[in-house]
Amino acid sequence: MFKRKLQALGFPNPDTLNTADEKQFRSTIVWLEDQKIRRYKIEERESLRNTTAEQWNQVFEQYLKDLDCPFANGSRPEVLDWLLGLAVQFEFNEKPESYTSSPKIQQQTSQKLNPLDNLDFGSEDFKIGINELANLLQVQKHPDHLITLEGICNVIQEKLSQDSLKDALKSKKSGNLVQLDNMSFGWDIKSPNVSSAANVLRYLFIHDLRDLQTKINECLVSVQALTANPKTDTKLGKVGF
Amino acid sequence: MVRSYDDELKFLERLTPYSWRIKKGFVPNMNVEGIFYVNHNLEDLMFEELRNSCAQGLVGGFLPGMKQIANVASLPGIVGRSIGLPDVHSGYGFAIGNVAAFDMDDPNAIVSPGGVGFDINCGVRLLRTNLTEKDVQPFKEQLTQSMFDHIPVGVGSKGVIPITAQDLEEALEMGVDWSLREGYAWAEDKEHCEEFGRMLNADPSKVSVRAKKRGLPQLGTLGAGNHYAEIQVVDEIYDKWAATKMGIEHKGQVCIMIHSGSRGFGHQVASDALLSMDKAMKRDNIVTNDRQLACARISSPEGQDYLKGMAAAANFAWVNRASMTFLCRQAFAKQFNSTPDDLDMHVIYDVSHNIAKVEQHTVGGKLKTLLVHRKGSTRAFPPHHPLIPVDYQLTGQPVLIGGTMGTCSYILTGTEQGMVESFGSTCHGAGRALSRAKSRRNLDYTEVLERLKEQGISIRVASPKLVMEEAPESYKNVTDVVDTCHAAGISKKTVKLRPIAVIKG
Repeated sequence: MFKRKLQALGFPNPDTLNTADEKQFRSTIVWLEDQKIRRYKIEERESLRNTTAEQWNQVFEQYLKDLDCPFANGSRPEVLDWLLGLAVQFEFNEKPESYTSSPKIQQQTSQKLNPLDNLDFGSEDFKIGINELANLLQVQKHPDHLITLEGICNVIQEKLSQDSLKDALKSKKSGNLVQLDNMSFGWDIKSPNVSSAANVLRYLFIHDLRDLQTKINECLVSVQALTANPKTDTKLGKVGF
Repeated sequence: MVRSYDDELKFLERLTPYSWRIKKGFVPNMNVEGIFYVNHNLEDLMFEELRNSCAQGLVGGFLPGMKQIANVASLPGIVGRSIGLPDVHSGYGFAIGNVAAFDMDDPNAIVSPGGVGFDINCGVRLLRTNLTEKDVQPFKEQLTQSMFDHIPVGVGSKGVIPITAQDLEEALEMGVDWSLREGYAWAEDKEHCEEFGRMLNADPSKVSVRAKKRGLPQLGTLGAGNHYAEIQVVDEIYDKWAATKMGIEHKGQVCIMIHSGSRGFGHQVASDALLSMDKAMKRDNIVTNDRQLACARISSPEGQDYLKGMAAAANFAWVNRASMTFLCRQAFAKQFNSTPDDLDMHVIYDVSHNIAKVEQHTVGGKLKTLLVHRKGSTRAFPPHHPLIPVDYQLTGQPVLIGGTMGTCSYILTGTEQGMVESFGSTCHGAGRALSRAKSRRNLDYTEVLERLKEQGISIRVASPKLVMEEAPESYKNVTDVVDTCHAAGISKKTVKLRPIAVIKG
């Protein structure tokens, strides 16, 4: 039951430790004090180390008192668990940075997988690159280059990804050109520029709404696959006169 | 109070070439004015109706449409105007073709089953196909027969979709979502239904056992009266761009129109509500000009129960139309040895023309939450309204106008002006000109059938002896009605369809 804590502390043989065995229990306590807890100076540990002595239990009780153990009168497993916890705490406090930095190690490995994560998104180089890309794709630039990047991503997803290219080929024939400015969008805006912009926004909103509705329909269809079982029974039918 | 025809005319004033104002005082206690839309031909019909009733005095007969519009204007909590559309004709309490909106924030405002009609959520659904008239012509008779075999029609007809009492409860609560779950509808169908095919406030527990018993076997049946399923072809396209948005590409394209409602179920919900409201009116001292205008305060238990039951009936109607859509798709797929998918049998739209809905409108410059009653009137929301499907955001909501047997039908679109003038509403169909009894007396059914045959229209009908009730002669001219709405600006003509095959009760 103490395996994980023992492992974390680097205990020599955590798998085989039998704490019910008095001898093993006592030597574990000694190991903890020597290696991890270090409550006493080395010369003061003599009586605790003498695990075969008859008065060891009294020494151990005194040791727990000195540590302010709340389970001084508790069962052996309780006491041991508390001591292990204490040891883990000391171990952590000694070099906390080595634990907090461990996710960094993981990140480093994923960085190897995705080279983009190594980029410095704030660097001048990166900004220049985005500007060039925006020019190339004729995307309107935003003062925040990351927003420009978002716009570029949208254009690529909608227009240049493999799926969208395939779709474009298919729908080219049946698609209808829409003259936005000839349509009523339900408002009367004097400035033609603002009006065009508002119309485009409204059109895009409807486009998003259509996307959402399509996804809703897909959900319904997938549920139907489980529930639908339409039946008819012509014997029930009756024409009224 | 009996006034002479000339005295009555003093309360009427022409507003525009296509509309008349009904001034306060035309009937007692009017809270707001009335308005009705007509062109020259329809105007004559309306005024003749008024003249006849003046001549008769108080005895017998229907109240003329104008009087009914005015009586509705005297109901508590009404705002704006009581609106009569060009197809207006006498109905139970409210005229058919009447729109009236009541302020949800006014504690006295009412809801009235008569303002919705007995066939709750009666409506029209249009499917498109990628077939042309040429493709269909050689198989027209077989196709008509096949439709007739698939969709049970007539009074007392029973549906072919097996359904248990528990299924019905769920369908009443879920509307088109039930049809979707069970696999009778496509996901795209829901998208093109008003309210997405489901009224969320439906509560089947507010519906009587009797209504459920009547409704259970009738699911997926067309019914009788003016209900029908027609195979139609595109005859004229007025707005090419809007038509394209609906998937209508060219003249001669084949569509299928289904006109039906909530059958006996809705009828029972309405009848039950009328009884309970009679009592509520006495308790709350609500006084109306006409006994048929039974109503209850929106916030009262009776009002709330009716709205919940009405919503359940509306859901029933959607499931009903969805089921018939399923059957139509089967019939076409079999005939053309194809799949409904490959035939592109999508729902263009599904409208409700007998319903009350909570909506937001601007009244006198203020945004208000209203309970809009549309009886024989179709919602016609303008472009960019948040409640219309994304595909129609730029064109405005499609409005489906079913003609009478053998005449044409129309697709209109909603306009901004309609939103301002008529609570985003327009006409619903031709509108009756002769009463059913009068039609039966004046017309001969063999002649009516013969005439359809001459026009090249295949017909399968369960009760031929009743077809004269639905003959074009019994109705106002649908083209007059639609042209008036177009000219008045409350909706816009987009496509005209003509039938090549009809099945009906």
